Amino acid sequence: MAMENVPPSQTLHLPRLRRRWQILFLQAIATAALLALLFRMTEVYGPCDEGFLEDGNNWCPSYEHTRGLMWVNEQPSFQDNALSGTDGLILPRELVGIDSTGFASQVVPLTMCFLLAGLWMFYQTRDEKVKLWTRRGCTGAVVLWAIVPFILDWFDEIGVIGFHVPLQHIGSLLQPLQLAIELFFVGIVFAPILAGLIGIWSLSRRALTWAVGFFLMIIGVHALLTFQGITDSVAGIGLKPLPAQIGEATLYGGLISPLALDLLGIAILILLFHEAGNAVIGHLEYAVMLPDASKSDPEYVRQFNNVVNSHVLHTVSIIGGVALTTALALEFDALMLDIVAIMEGGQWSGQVSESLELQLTYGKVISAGLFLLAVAGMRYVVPWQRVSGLIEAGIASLRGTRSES
Amino acid sequence: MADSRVWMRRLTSRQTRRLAITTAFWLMLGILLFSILQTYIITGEKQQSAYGDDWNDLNGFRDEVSNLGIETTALISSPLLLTEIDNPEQAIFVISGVERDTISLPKFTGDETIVDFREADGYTSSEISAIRDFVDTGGTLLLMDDFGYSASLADEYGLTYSGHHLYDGEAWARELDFNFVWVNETSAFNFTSTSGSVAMAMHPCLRDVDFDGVIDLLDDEPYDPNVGGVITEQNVGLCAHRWDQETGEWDFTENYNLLTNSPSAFEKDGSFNPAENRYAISASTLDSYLDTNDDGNLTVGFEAAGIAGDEQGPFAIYVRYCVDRMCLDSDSGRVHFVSDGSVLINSLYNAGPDSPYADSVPVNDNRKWALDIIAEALLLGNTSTNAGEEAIIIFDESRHQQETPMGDTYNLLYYILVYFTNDWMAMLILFLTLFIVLEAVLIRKDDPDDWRHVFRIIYYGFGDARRYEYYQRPQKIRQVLLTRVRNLNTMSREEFDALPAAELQRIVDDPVLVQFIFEDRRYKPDELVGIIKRISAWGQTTEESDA
Amino acid sequence: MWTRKAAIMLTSGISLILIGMMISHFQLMIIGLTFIAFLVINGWVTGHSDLEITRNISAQNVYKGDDILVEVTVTNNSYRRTQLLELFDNVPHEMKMRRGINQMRMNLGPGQSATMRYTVRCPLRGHYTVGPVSVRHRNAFNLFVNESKVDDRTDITVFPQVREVEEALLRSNVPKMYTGATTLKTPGQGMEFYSLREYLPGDAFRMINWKAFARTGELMVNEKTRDAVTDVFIILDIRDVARIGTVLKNPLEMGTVAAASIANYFIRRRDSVSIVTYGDRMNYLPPETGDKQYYKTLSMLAGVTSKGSMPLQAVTNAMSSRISRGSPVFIISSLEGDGTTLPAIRNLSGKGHEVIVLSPSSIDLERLVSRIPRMSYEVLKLERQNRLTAISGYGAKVIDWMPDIELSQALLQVKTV
Repeated sequence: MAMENVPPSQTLHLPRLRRRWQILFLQAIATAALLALLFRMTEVYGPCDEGFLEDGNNWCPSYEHTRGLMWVNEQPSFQDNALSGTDGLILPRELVGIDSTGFASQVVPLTMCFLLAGLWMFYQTRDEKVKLWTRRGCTGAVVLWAIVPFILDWFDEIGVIGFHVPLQHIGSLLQPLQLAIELFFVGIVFAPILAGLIGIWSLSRRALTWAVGFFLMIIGVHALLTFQGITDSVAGIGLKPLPAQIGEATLYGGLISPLALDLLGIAILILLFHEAGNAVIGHLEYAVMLPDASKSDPEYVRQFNNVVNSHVLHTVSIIGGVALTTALALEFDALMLDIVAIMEGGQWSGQVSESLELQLTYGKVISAGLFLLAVAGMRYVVPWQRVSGLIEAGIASLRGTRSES
Repeated sequence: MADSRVWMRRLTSRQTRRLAITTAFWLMLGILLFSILQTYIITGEKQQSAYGDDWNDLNGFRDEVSNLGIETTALISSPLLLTEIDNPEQAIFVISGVERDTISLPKFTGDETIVDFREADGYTSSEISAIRDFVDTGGTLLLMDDFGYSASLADEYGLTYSGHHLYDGEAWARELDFNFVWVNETSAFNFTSTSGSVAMAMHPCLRDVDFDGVIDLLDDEPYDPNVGGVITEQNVGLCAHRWDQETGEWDFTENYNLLTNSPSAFEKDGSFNPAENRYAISASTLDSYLDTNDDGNLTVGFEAAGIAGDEQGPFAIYVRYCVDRMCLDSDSGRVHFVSDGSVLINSLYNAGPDSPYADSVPVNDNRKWALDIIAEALLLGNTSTNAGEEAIIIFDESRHQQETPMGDTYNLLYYILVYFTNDWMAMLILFLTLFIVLEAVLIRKDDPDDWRHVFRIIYYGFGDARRYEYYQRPQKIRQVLLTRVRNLNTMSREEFDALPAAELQRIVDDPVLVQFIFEDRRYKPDELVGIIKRISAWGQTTEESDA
Repeated sequence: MWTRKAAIMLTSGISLILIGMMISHFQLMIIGLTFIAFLVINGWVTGHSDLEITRNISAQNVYKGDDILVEVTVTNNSYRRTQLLELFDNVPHEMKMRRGINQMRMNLGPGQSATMRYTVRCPLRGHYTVGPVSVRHRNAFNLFVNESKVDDRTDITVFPQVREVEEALLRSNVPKMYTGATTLKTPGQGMEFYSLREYLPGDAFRMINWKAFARTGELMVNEKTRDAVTDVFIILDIRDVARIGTVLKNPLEMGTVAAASIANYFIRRRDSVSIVTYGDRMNYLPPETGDKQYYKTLSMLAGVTSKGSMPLQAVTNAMSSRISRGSPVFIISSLEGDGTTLPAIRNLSGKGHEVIVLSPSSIDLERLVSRIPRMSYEVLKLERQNRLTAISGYGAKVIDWMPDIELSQALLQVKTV
């Protein structure tokens, strides 16, 4: 069987694959999800409790960076900086967006994240020697920057008052600490973004997992710090708790409540980011594993395209389906109430239809669970794959390409 | 014979044993689960449900309050959910009979014993704690029970159910039978002997400061006796039961004639304790007695003969507890204890000319009493006679028998879910379980390995170091030399053995080798190396010369 | 089957829901629900396995070191998409992938097919089976895996290499008594026509002379002359000790190459060749000639594995009645660990057979994989030399075959005492 020739641009070699639209599409989706996640997270978990702020407090451990930087900015011991004069921050103010609010405060740091991720990709492709010298250079620069002002201050003073123990210059050594604190505040918000970008574009599963883990950790910490059991004993944290009730479903024709939409958005974005990012890595790993001969084999190329195309389709349709299903599941309790209300007459149906549980979270969860169970079971009833296969086969036979893949 | 052997082999096979062990395990688990569930799902009389419409159910009461515009709801899992009520001061929790116990775990005590393994029947301690919190934050609890499992809840408020039947020699309903006991109270708002009636101060349907016959809530000028207000069917709201539409008269009476059905009573000790804000409001008559020996008859005691008699009344039947003194504060939580679970059942509640039970059940004040409690709880602090938006009456159905096992199972599921996400000990256990399961998944669950063709051929070696050592021994080297000499001289073994020593020396013709052949001593390694070289060389020389 | 990811998603989903309920945090509950919804929705997309798999290979019988091209074609016979399907053709690990790869990821629509091509090299003699084909359905997000095997197998026989030894045998000290087939004027199983005779029951149909039948009306059969051929006996040592050395270079491998090459040489000369192997038991291929015998010889040699410790004398004793008088006997053995070698060869020589002993130097093969102390090596070599000398002393031709010496070169080193 004579083998067709695959155009060089279509082979499964990594540099070429990285320019495939499907791969770029998945990477773009993952990146968009990551950015949307940042905005959604800062929207939901960024604010502090209004009452807490009204009491004169400035900072709470929320998912927002400018308040922390503002705190550093206001610390008297961090006022003199070797690089930025009397500015209370070491990091440039424009770079961290301290003087802005909302989206404007995130633009420059985000750009920096993209830049750093690009630099990281570039760094990863260098040989070991360049990497070593880059590492050494960076470490050396930081060390010099940390120590030189102290030495200069001291020597300068020696010129004036003679040799002395440099205790009064110790303050110059606080700069690394200040920088670390500033980086911490910026990092809380942007470290997962940087890691996520590195994960998506530099193909690192670990970075993807780390970013997702970080977001979940932020949510977990928020959950703990706003839990009544904790707030009762540890007062003054100032985090704004999520509302106790999910609210009325008023959006999209009564499908979902605004709060549920926000929270579901975060969950879906996490999923989308993780899955799209990992999909790229998975497909490229497979392609890299193939020997050269197979990379140019038309059958392998065709099937790779099939697999990636269907993955793109699945990513869009399944994640969309998950969003819709979860939204429906969350509102299924209302439907359950209606269904139970129909079963009038019985003592049990009466009490279930009026039960407090169905109106509270428990009802939501159990009815959502029942809904998901029903959806899961429906797959055995609805032969959609067969139907779609028949349609596909019909289209293929119309095109006369049924025998080809 | 062969067949039996095959069967025996099959029976004792590993597979069969495994199957047997697995079956035994699941059987055991099933029995265990069944025995646990059995304590929950028991067959019994279905009664006192706010959603049942039998003579002994409470749907009449529920329908009425529902028609008054108050949201009614059922609690089917556990009172632990009361902690989730947003406005407890606008909520009434109604318990009518606690018919069963449920699953519970030991509790954290918070003192040095850390964990208390004793858990009372009925409500669990965390449920009682949730109910207490509900009351403390302004909620109203109406507890009606006689022989059920509410002892621990009553105990929380210093009350003790006697657990025995109360009979009354005089005050029993003649139209019915002696199980129906009247409890008559002439001044239900006289909380203590010295307090006088506090109805004016605390009951919105009775408060008429200017005594103009129109309650303050409906009075245009509450402090002006000359100005009253128009009372209509529309504006009487929750106080409707106090207004006679036909006569237009307002009922300001503070007496209740409560009809009870097979009541019990509270123990005398502790049922009245104003210091703890516990007030016995209604009691049985002096002719009443508690059937302490449960024989169904009055037994007169005769101490000299050692016969313990039934205890004589009066006994507290209706006790009220207030978080604040005498419930004067409108936000005060309040608890109404009644030692009969049936005071609000349809047959007693709906008694009256229109009632289907009118023929047999005498007119009573049970409805008035219950609606007074509702009004008191929901109207205090209000400016109208209508309940607020948030007003809610919660009926505890979690401790009632359900009509179907499905219903029981459904409730049990909810109970488990609510219990395990609210009770500290259960939460701890659930959390640990989840943690262990997650760990187990992480450790035990493996993905199928990625496929990879591995080209692998195993290398063999003869490698036996002791064998190599053996070939370094002088004896072996000597044997090799002698064989070599014999072979190269084409001698048979016998010929060679018979060879004189001098002849052998001549053949070898190498003094070092000759000495090696005849001298059995220890050789240094370098000596042996030299000898081996000579043996190799000797052979070659001989071969060459032969050639 | 659920994957680890799915199991973790399920447990963490349930955990998040329950913990969310414990601490009244909707976000945790919704993430948990989303995880479970993700599993549920993915459950709707299942792969299908109504597959038809065919395998074509370029050759079923190859010589050691040859390449085989394998083509596996998969066709989706169902009306459903296969979804992500991974295919893996199970290739014996003794075969080396030369080009392409024996696995493929695909997603076939209804009626579609795909072909995976790869080339394997067979560096080791033996009987092998390629297949079955492992099929793994996976969903796009790696949540569920369903693995099965399609039992499509192809047998491959890798014969030992056959070297050209004609010139070496002609130039060597091996006696030139094998003159090939000569025709005797007696009837028997030969090539040339002898006479016509009447058909007797039991005669093969192919012997019937149809022309004569047409002419005479009676069934007549052709009788052939008997070929007088020399029987060459090759006794191959396949005992456990024959695996000394590496897998590719050991007395057994060298011996099979030698036996195949010598058999090839003599069969081409239309001599009858018999192969006898001995290890844990003796296998005897009676003397025959022709392509069929050649194939039988190679097949037999392809399948031999080293085991057992049967003494050579047991073989020669058993064979003494079968070895025709004067037949040359090749003994291919490392001569290790068998005290009966000398008497066995002495007996054979005594009966007038030409005995040629081709002995791969096991001690030198052992050196390829094991560090032997220099002194021990020298003594072992001396001992081996003693053994070879003794054998040649009984009139056998002895070849000390060093690992790095080609067979043809080794055959030139025949020495006699």
